[in-house]
Amino acid sequence: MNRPISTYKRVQQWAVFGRLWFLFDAKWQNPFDSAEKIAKYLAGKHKPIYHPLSDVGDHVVVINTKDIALPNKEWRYRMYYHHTGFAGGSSWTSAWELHNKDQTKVLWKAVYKACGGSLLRHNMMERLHLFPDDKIPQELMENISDHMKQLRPVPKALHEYTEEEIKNFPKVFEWPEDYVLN
Amino acid sequence: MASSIVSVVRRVSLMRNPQSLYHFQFEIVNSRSFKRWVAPTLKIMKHRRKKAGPEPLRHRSVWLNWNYTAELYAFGRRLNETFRDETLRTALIHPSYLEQEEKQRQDLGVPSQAVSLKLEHNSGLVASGESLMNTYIKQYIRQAFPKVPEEGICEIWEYLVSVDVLSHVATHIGLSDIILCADFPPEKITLAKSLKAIIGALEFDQSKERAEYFIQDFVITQLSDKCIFDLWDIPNPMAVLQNILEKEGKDPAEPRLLWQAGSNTILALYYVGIYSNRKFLGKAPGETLAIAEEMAARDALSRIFGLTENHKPLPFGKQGRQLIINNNENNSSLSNWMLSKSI
Repeated sequence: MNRPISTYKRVQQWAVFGRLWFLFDAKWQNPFDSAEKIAKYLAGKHKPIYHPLSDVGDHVVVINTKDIALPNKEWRYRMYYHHTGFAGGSSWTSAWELHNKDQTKVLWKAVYKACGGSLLRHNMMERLHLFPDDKIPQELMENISDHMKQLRPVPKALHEYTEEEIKNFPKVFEWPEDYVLN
Repeated sequence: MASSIVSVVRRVSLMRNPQSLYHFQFEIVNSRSFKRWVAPTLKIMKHRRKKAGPEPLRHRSVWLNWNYTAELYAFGRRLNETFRDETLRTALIHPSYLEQEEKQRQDLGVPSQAVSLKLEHNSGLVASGESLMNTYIKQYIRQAFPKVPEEGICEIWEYLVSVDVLSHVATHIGLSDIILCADFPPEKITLAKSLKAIIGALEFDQSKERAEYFIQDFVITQLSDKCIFDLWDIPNPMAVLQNILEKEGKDPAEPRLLWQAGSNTILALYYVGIYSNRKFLGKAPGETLAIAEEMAARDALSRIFGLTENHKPLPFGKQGRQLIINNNENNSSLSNWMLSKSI
């Protein structure tokens, strides 16, 4: 029996070129640094079979894009330029304004830039799924097989600690009984 | 009339320039005239060629410089084997050739008794070569794959002695030009028979051992980098695996989903592992759960039968010469196969 490809080799190839689905939580993450990492996965640069001309990237589902954290004064001073093509049609939108209009737009633009100028960029962007909060459609959730590590750990906010935890937190000194806080 | 000299561009080398692969070398030279007849002539020649059709396939011996004796000698030297001239000639004569010659003589009105052909055909050598090949290949495969059940051995053997494989080998050692048969171009079955006759001739002229090495070098090598499970199709691998485990007294095989990705997409990927009493047996990917499970069962069987991708290479060359075949018994059949017995 002569087959064009061995049965084992066929499924092996299927596995090699299979597209994985990664979950990325953008909460309190720098979108520009995150974009570099996401673009790497979208292009398939984390795989040994990577080649710039091959479309071998994976899918990335990003949640909580409404909670991205821009460094320094970027919310105010990062400008997104657009020109309508008509006279006087130029406009500059600051990052906070853009974020108010669409909570996924800042990260989308950051990833778009990080994907580079190759012809595969649009295919790569098709594989990026952005969600402002952590609500993902069930059918998309079923595809996900792995998650990407966040660039920096999200610290726990004070209101997330229980009363007991705060009370038992080790203290250097006790306030005097008669000391009035605030 | 003033003599006119024109400059023409002439291609210097007929071959491509080795320094730059894609360019020919050109130079500008002085010439008496442009040769305006060249292009129309070439056009007409091409048209005539197309009209006449392709060159008919002719036997090499049609050309004048054909030297059959030299070809026969060269054949032996190429293979590094020494044949007796008469044996080799006999091995290459098929009965169909003799019939054709007889008929030709009858048509010409030559009485067959007056000028007999005095030629022998190769049927005897074919039979002896075939029987040697059949036994040796089976013995060799059993030695090389001690854990493979007899069913698998038979399938591998069937592939190796198939007309396709044998005719392929025969063509590539240069038999198609030198065999004498009625059919042209020689049919696959004729080529396969010729190869068997050559093996028979080798056994007759030299020794059985030498003929066996020939089989090892030219026929069994066709097995290298072949996936055995492609030659031997097990219809229901899971049932076979369960059967084996049951006979071993082990827990039944249990398929488990190891990983999956993109389940709702067209590129869904599932990895299924097979375990028996929490002991790993095999794993494989697939586009559906059913395919992945079947492939995982196949993988488990390949691990049990010692047919994994990284199995020991077959003994060829130096290792093949040192191979001592001491096992003349059949491997156990799939229904009686047991892990403890096969090792």
